[in-house]
Amino acid sequence: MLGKDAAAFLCRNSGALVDAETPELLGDATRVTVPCGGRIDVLHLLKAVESGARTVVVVACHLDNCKSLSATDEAELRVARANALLVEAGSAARCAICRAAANAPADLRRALSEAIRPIGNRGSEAEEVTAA
Amino acid sequence: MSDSGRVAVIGGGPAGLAAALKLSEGQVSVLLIERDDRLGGRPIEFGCKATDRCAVCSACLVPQMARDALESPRVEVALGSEVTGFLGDPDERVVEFGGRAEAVEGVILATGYAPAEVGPVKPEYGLGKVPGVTTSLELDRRLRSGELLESPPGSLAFVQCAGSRDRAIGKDYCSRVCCTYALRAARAIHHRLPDVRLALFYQDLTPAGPGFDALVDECSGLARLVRALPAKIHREPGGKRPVVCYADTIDGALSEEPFDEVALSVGIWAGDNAAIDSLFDLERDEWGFATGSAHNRVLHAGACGGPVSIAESIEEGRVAAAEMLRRLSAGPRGTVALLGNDERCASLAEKEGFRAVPATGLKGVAGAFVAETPDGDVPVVGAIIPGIRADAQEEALPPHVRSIWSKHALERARSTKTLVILPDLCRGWCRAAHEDALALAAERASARQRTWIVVRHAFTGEPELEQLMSRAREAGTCIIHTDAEPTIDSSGVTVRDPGLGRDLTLKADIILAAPRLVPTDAQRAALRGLVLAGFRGHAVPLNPHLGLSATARLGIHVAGWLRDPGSSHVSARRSEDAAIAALTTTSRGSAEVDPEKCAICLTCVRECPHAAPVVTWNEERQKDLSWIQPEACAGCGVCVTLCPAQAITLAEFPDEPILAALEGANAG
Repeated sequence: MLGKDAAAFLCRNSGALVDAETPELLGDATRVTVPCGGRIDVLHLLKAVESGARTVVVVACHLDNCKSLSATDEAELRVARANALLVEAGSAARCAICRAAANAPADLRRALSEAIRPIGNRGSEAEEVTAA
Repeated sequence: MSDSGRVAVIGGGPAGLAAALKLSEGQVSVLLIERDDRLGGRPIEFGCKATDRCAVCSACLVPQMARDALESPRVEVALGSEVTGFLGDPDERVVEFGGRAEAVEGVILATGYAPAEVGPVKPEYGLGKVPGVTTSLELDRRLRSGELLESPPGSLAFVQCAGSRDRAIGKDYCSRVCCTYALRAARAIHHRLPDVRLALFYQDLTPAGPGFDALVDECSGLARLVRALPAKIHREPGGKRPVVCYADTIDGALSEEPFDEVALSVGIWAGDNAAIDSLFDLERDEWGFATGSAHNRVLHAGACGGPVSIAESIEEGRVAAAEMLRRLSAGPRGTVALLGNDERCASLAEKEGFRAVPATGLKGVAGAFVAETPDGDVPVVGAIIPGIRADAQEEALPPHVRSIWSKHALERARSTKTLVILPDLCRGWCRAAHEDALALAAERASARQRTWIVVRHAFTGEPELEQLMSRAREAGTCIIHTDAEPTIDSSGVTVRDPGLGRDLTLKADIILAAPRLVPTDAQRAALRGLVLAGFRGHAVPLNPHLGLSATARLGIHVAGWLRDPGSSHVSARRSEDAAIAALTTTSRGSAEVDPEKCAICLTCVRECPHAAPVVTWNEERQKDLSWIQPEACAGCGVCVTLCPAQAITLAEFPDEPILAALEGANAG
């Protein structure tokens, strides 16, 4: 589903396990497995864009399913912050978060298409920016 | 206990995986023997029931635990292997499997359950014969794989108690987990496929875990809940759909209703365990579930001991592992603080390897807490907040109704001629309320006093209660099931009897009900201070990772109604589970603060979900410094990304590998 020009940050307890079962969903995207969605920083997301990713996806746990309780909420805030910075820099929002449990490949498929739909086209048309 | 001693865990489902991982945390090597060619047991095929939030079914923990077991250097996994022999000599224990014979120090049996064979025992349901009739397990598999989303039925009915609560087939026990499963599944399907018409046919709704009240309320708006079990499911004449035939318990009318699909919620059976029984000298109850072994070093956990949810299986696996560690003299030993007035927990103090001290407060972190007691400070490794009724505040009952737990009301109820008890008047599936109601009715029946028990749902989740209910009925107690709200006045209760199809007025000298329990203001304040995040009525957030007793604070566990507001019951066993969990909590991470960069802004102290960061005076530097208490750190990295000064690092997961993985990866 995703091409080489995509990066995916995968929570070890959800995204990474679904990806191991159904790797075709994230296709050729560059994968980075993190111990928890809460570990993802705005810097990581912008670094992915700077490295050429047109689409950056964070696959993290559902609300109330995070091993660190509220950490995936933080991840969502950081995705929003990264998008705000990209827009401020003249680019388009390219980051998205989708939530799926370790035992939900079908949910990941749906969540990915929903998350990427709003950023997919704009991402490819956006001018290149260099993250600060 | 040396590394050379090994414990065999037989069965790689949730209980076996949890036991294996807990043993490995206790520095014990594990031989995990699984008959199948993959770990996870039956739940590995279960789908996620989340909507916008987690449904807390715990099925997603199973693949996580399977991965952890496969990655653990202390766990050797033997897939596709069946145990064929066991030498249970106290001086030498040998397990034979897959052509191997291995010496072990002990054995934990977690062999799981067998799904009810609904086809042969309930031929009237047409499984395998009527198109569209399937099982809940098959439905779950299709939900997981996405097949259900690709070709959704227009209408779907769940039929409960398929293979359990049925005397005719010798399974007169409740499988406990099926109601919660079906309701969660219905909600999940509605979330993904809002156009599917849903119905659920049931006898009584039985809870399996906290949050059941809210789940039923939510599902009432999404699916039609029908209190009736079908007499028959047949093929639609001239069509292919299954038709559910049932007697509506509200109006008594016979109905026939076609659905595109009918999912039978299959019960939990013990299965054929003759081989295991003879090898391990296992004793079993009348339904075939394991009750214990003659061998001191053979324990069992999970669904092989009776119907349990995934969360309960995991908890039982951990507890069995802790008990095994204790028998191997490898732990758990130590003292836990009891932050509450729990007489039932007194048994803990007598249990070998435990010491429990009643405490009024707690300081410090997991593994190094200090309990504040009337006799001074006592070092403890963990703490439990038992959550018993005596500590709670009862919510007000409607006029003319007295609390079943009021000593004065109970005394009066014993001597009056007529009595009505409404155990679930105030909602909340409360085991203690049903148990107390049935016990009081039985006592009164022997004195030839009239008692009516009016319930929405009989609490049948435990075999003893089912039997108690049967005995109360046989003794003359009238138990009325009703979905309608009763009308209460000074003379008695008016309630609609669905069986008779009319209102009944029950004249009563006294009316008893179980009030809902809420924390006192002092408890609320104390809990906020102790368990921090997530105090929203529940003492702990509903999160599968916290299991049945854990809080956001490592080492502090809760039980009873504090975990589940619907329950005022806390068994000695659950308290023990909580205490064992408190004793064996281990930290999972080690974030560190660079004192040169730290501005003591307190962001980490405020935001850490586990209360790991603290600010204390540093003698050497002569200033306040922030640092992370390693015993309390869960290793999530939230503080690392939140720190404005970038002063915190997580040793196991620094920035460099993340940035290196991205560097140049997308350039082409």
